[in-house]
Amino acid sequence: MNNQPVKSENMKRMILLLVLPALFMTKSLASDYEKTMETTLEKMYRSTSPEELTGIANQFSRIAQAEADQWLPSYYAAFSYVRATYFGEMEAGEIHKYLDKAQNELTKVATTHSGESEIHALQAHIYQLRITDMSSGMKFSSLASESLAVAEQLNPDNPRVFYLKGMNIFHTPEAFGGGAEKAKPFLEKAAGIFATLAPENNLMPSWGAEHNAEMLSLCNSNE
Amino acid sequence: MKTVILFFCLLYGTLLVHAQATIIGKVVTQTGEPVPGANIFLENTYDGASSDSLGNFSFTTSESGRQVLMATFIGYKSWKEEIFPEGRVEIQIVLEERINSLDAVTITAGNFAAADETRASVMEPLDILTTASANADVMAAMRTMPGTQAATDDGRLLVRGGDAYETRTYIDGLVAAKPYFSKTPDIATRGRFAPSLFSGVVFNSGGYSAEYGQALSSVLVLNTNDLATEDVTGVSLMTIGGEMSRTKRWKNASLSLSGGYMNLGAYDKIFNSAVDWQEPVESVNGTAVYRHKTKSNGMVKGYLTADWGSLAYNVPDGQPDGLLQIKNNGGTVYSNFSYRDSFSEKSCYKVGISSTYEDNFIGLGEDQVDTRERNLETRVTVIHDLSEGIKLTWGVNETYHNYHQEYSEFQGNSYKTGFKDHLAGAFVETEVKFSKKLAVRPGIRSEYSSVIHTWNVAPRFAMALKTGEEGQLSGAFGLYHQTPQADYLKLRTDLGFEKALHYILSYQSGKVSSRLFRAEAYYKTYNHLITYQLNEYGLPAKLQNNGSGYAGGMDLFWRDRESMQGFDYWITYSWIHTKRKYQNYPEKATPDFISGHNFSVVGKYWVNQLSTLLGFSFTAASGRPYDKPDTPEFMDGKTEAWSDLSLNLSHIFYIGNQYSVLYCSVTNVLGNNTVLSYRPSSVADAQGNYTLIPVKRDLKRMVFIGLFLSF
Repeated sequence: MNNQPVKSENMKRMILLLVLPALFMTKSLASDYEKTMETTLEKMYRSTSPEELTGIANQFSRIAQAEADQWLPSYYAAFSYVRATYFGEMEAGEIHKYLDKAQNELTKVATTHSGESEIHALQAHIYQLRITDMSSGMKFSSLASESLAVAEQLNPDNPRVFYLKGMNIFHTPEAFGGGAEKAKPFLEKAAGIFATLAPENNLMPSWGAEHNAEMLSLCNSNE
Repeated sequence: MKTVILFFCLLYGTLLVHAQATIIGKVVTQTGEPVPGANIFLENTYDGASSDSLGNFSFTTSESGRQVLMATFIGYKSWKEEIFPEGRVEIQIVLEERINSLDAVTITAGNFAAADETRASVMEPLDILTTASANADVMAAMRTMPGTQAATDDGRLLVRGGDAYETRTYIDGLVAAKPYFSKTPDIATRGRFAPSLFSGVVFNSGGYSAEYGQALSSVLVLNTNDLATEDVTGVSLMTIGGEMSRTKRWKNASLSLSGGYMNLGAYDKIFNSAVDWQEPVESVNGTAVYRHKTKSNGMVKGYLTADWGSLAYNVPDGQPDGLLQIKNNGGTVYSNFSYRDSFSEKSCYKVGISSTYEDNFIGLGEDQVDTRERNLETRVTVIHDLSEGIKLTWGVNETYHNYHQEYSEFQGNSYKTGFKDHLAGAFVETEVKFSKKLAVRPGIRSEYSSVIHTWNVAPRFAMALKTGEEGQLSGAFGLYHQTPQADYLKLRTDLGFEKALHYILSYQSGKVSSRLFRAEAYYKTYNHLITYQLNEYGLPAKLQNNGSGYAGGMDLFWRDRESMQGFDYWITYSWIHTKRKYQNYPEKATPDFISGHNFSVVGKYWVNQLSTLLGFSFTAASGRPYDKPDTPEFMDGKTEAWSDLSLNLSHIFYIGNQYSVLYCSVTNVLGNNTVLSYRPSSVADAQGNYTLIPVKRDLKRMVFIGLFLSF
């Protein structure tokens, strides 16, 4: 009978021992999200192949369906398809197919997380990329500027808002009110925010800084 | 105790180093084609893979027990199956096409547009503004589309053998009862609505859906813009007048106000008009456009426009050196309010009301005709997505028409005529997509007109079949009714609906945004058309639904925006054979507004260095029949073939962030001055014969210059 307290002491320890790994395991699922996101993001930012980026988009999309309350996985699934259009040397029809896929992913979180500035910025970028011929220019650039206005309203310090605005102007012919000179103030503002405001954490969007700097140096060399 | 610990350790051990199962397989379509890029995964886990270019995939998982394997790919239904991952699991996945995907078949017979977010329409507002012959008139730009008559001396849309009244214009689904400024003899009219109001134009040249009625030939559906994008002030200075506008944008609303004044007096003096103007065309107009986006993403649209105009000119009256003065002045107020929102994700509705009030005064010599018309339409339309590929649309409308006319003879009697009509309509229509390749759209419409105490029931049917990646075959069939025109109803109301039956077969290939070819064949029969005889006063008598006729033809269309950088052009050819007995025709004949062959080319070229868009349009039409009063045969004359070459340029420049346009156009550059048609004089000469008055263009060449500033 004397053994009893000891035994119960042991029991406690044992239970603790058994429960601890279990706790650790649940904890590991949560950080699994971050870890998987991080490694997939790393892969995405490195990849320049549309096929590979499709795979990466699918990976994000898988994370999205398992983590129903996160918006970043769907956001990055959409961005992976967007990124694919940068490198593919694609014809207009092919670009639209990728953008359809991007839109499909982004739409999944567009209403549930309508307060996220980044979602509206990416939406604007998708509209911009849809301008593959003269006839669609007016429609999509006005849709893009509507989305950018919302993005700016939700977060006036979102550097991608000014980067995308600047890019739009940069690629618009001077005759239509575009050109390097007019784009410069926007790109400069974006560069300023990119340099001073780091993303909240590793998982938050960080794209655009390099291309912004590239365009800015083109603006400066033109002078 | 030890055994217990061991047991748990083993349990964890098995959990942690649980044998990794491999899932391997292939994703194919129902026809066995591999699907690359599909996403295959275990539901609610991160484990999965993408299929490669041959549709193959493989991945490992440490999950065990009952799991759900899923496969997804855009344009296909998601695939699910229960599996128990253990060892090696091989699986073949067959994906079923989603019928509502973006590249699915759309019904296009008769329809000339596909305006959605990613697809371009055949005719966009910018195209209207830059078509050389159109001079920013929606209706004139539409006359470069297949199935229409060139008839520049009329100015209205004449579609596939139909008279001008057989085409109806709808704005945001609500009727615009007076889409043209008032038409007087020999003078071409133009459309009332500015093209910049609209984001999309659907021109249906036949076989249109059950949603609409009261048009024997065709409907033109104009969809207005949503919210204005930003604040802007506009000033337009033109050789025909000036306009000012101001647009204000708030977060969820926008308001635009504009007003203008037109005076064509200078043209008469400079260009030596063929028309003997007494008072040149003069008009004022004002417009307000309001938009509000509600919290639930609904859209309130309000549009109000009012104009007042006057003109007077002399025409030969048939007597030697005799002149008849035609005067016209009048005002029109049009308003259109609509609201669209959704009940749920699967169903949405549109409600709206449109109203037209017109007070129009015409002076014919010393006689005066004053016409006051009110037209009020209320409409509700509901759309349900019943299930994958099945859409149900239904709706009701009530259209009130009040017509009042007073004819006053010079120092003589005055005669009052008029009528009221309540037209009630209801329709139901389903669109069923059996697959991505085959769609059918049966529908039925029924109407009751109170003025003629008559019901009608009209079945409609359309279908489309995809024959390849870009090719598709469409067909349509439909019965169409129209209440007799006010000119007849004011005299007697024991008449019936006029009727037309359409059969359409069309083939189209290519994409609107790059290259598109379209060929459409049609056959129409007309019945119960209004016939009459002219009495001794030249007024219709013995009105009856006794007329009939037919129209058959072929329309070809080609548009290419891709082959040459910066160059965009379209070519249209329409052939038609039609005869009808209506009005006071003694026998079936081809009406005098019909050219058997109509051809047009419209081209635009963007010159980057000059920031200028250069445009041209060429239109040619074969001769039109006319009746020589001195021969016993009816409609035995034929005018000469006619052609027109018009050029324009738009130079774009910037004031701040807003672009401004300097626009210049020359219509009929070559100065062809053929007789377009002949009109019998309204008064007989001493021998009792009516002479023929040739109708030519008002201005041989017309130069138009406009400066449209925005800031």
